[in-house]
Amino acid sequence: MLAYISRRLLLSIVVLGGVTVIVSGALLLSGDPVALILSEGLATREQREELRRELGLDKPFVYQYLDFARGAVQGDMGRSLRYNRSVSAIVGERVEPTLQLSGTAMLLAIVVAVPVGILSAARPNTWMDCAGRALAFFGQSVPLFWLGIMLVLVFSVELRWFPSAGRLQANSLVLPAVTLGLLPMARIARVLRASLLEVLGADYCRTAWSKGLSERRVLVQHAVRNALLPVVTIMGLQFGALLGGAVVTETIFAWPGLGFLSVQAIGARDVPLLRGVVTLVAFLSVLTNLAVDVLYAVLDPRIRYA
Amino acid sequence: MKHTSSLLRVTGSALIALALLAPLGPSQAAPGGAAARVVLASEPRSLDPTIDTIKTSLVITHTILEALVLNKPDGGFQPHLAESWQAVDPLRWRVKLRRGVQFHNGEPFNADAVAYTVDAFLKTRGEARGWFSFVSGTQKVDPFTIDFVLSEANSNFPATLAFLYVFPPRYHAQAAAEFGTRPVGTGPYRFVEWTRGNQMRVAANPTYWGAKRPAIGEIQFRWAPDASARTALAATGEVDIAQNIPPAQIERIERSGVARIETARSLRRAFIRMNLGNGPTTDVRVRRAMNHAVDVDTIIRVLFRGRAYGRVAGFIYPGFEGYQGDKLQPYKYDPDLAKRLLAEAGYPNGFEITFWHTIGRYALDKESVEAIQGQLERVGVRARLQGMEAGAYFSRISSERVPGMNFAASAPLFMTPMYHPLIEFRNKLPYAYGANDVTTQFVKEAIAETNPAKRLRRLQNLERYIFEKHVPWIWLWDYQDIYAASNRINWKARSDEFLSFEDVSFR
Repeated sequence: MLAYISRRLLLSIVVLGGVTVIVSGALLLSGDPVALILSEGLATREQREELRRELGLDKPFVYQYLDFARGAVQGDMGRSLRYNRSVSAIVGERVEPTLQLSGTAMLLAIVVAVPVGILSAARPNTWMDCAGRALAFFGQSVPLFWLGIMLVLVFSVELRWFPSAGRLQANSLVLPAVTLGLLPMARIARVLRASLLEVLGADYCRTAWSKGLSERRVLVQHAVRNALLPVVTIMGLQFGALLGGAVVTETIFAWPGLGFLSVQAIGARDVPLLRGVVTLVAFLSVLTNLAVDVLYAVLDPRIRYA
Repeated sequence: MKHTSSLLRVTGSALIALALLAPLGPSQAAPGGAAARVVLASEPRSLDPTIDTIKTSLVITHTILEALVLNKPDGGFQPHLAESWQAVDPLRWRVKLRRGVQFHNGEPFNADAVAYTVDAFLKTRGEARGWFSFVSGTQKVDPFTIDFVLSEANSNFPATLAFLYVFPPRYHAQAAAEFGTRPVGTGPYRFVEWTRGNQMRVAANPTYWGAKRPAIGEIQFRWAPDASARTALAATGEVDIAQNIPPAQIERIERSGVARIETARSLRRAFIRMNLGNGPTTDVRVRRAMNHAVDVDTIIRVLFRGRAYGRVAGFIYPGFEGYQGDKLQPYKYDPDLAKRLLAEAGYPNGFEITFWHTIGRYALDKESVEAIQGQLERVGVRARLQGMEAGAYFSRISSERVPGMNFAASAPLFMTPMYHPLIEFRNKLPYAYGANDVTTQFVKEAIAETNPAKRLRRLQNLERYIFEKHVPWIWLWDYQDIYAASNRINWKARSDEFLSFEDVSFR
């Protein structure tokens, strides 16, 4: 197991390398940071060239990237072009709000989705199932930005229950977490229902029923545990999606996290900063996927990694 | 059905646990009405004005740091940390400084501080690079008199001092890059704290030197890039001033009962640069025709719901010295005249042209450009739109002369009628599509002219030449800045995107 984990961690370096190459390349292709830094038009061409040299932007892409990689290996993510501060310091300030938001959203999703999924599957084609499926359907189809704005209109502007944006009070977390949590909630509920229905029709469940076990024991001890594998997979995938969804949600709610920061970094063509944010997010996703694979082995004793 | 209720119980208790889990953010400071709460469109990257020169950042910097001169709400400027100035000769300006001013940390404000600051602006790698490139250095005359030595004559010099925010030398040198995260200045407010992304607080400076003491005890700044979030914050009374409210959201503010709309005519002027070096727009008759083909009044009425000012003429703003008023008559919408001019120039069937523009940088930029495209179509000019995100756009149009025409909406930094000529009409500068040898020479002479009356006359001549003979732009409109202000404060908007906190009071 340990060997497996270390091999996966080594592989993640390759993933991170690929991610940073793509991010740096895409940003450099799409516009010149110097033109944005000196957009006032008072700087002459010579001053622009000088700044480009100082920032190392005059070098060929490969050299720029190697410079970055050399620093990154030593833990130095470089300096932000626009903040004139170290990338690690800037990114460090934004990790906690994002983890708090996506963690709460995920928790919220699981707490709602698991009972909804189980009820839907246990009572197929009843009103409970319909309600559960409607909720899942709604959650999967509604766009994040629309949902966020509607929640603000109803719960902040009309009812005044929650602050409309920012992170100044404890209850500021509620609306963004609900917004961000709805999609994973819908997906988890749907997958859980489908996989439970399949399991409930399996031979061993019929056997369990025929032994005269109570519905609760059949569901919880026999069916749910076996239905969890695909659910755990989708949870892992959703966590990555959450970090992406955080870009929209954090912008709508002015939540001071990584998503908010990356929008600003993209607008300013701040390559070092964006590379820092994306590398961190990619790393978190890799870790989550690894955790899911390890969980498989815990959930299903037949799975063994050698 | 037994498990149903137990599942509900589990769900319920989990939700309660979740609510308890929500960690406390920083507490809301300044209880009661002592603090003014402001939401801006973007968070500063730094409060060091050599690094971050975006107006939304300077709004905050400006409460803490002060410059040698102060811009007035409707154009022009007045003495501030400098008491007076005078050109000793065209390349040397003598500036007398105010006495008895102290930085928040106790350092004295004097000629040494100004000399240090000039040096910092000249050496910066930040956005202010180039702002003072005409200054070669300073010489201290006495502790409160300093000479600025220029490398080229610049009559515009006093106006540029509005952005020479003075640093406390000892602290600035010691804090280095961190100065931008905890600045010290001479201003009416001192820096208190900045929790990244969340809020920044500044508190009244009890020993402020100015005649006008800070009117409010504390200002809390927060940021929301999304316009609907800013609108919601104002409509719920969570903030006292919200910047940049889109026209479509005005009604929500007005219906809220807790906030109102405040507006000001912005100094941001929309115009279209045409390429004078190649294509049909090399012919001045074509450039005139383009002006007559655009119906600005309709765009303002329909697209901006009346919330823009136009049609504008020339480059000197109303309220600025030298404004020529009715002497420059805006181009009239006259598609027939436009067609005749095009036919005269040899394009009876019009032509195709590339039209470069930003998407999402300025209010309704894409929509405006599309409306203009439709109007040009009517006189036979088929514009191919090249819309881009701001980053790509600026780098593209400033690194080469793009063919066709490009959309601009620029606001002057310095309160001087020289501002646009400096950027747009001097050969070789990145955005100077409208420059030729005549305009370059005009600007050069106006810069060098130290007699204010003569300089204004030169500028007015340049403006007439550009507007009537040269016609390098299609003239459009001035924007309106729209704010929401809570009903518990008295406050008025000003034209240069700064917020006047000296006049804020609680009702």
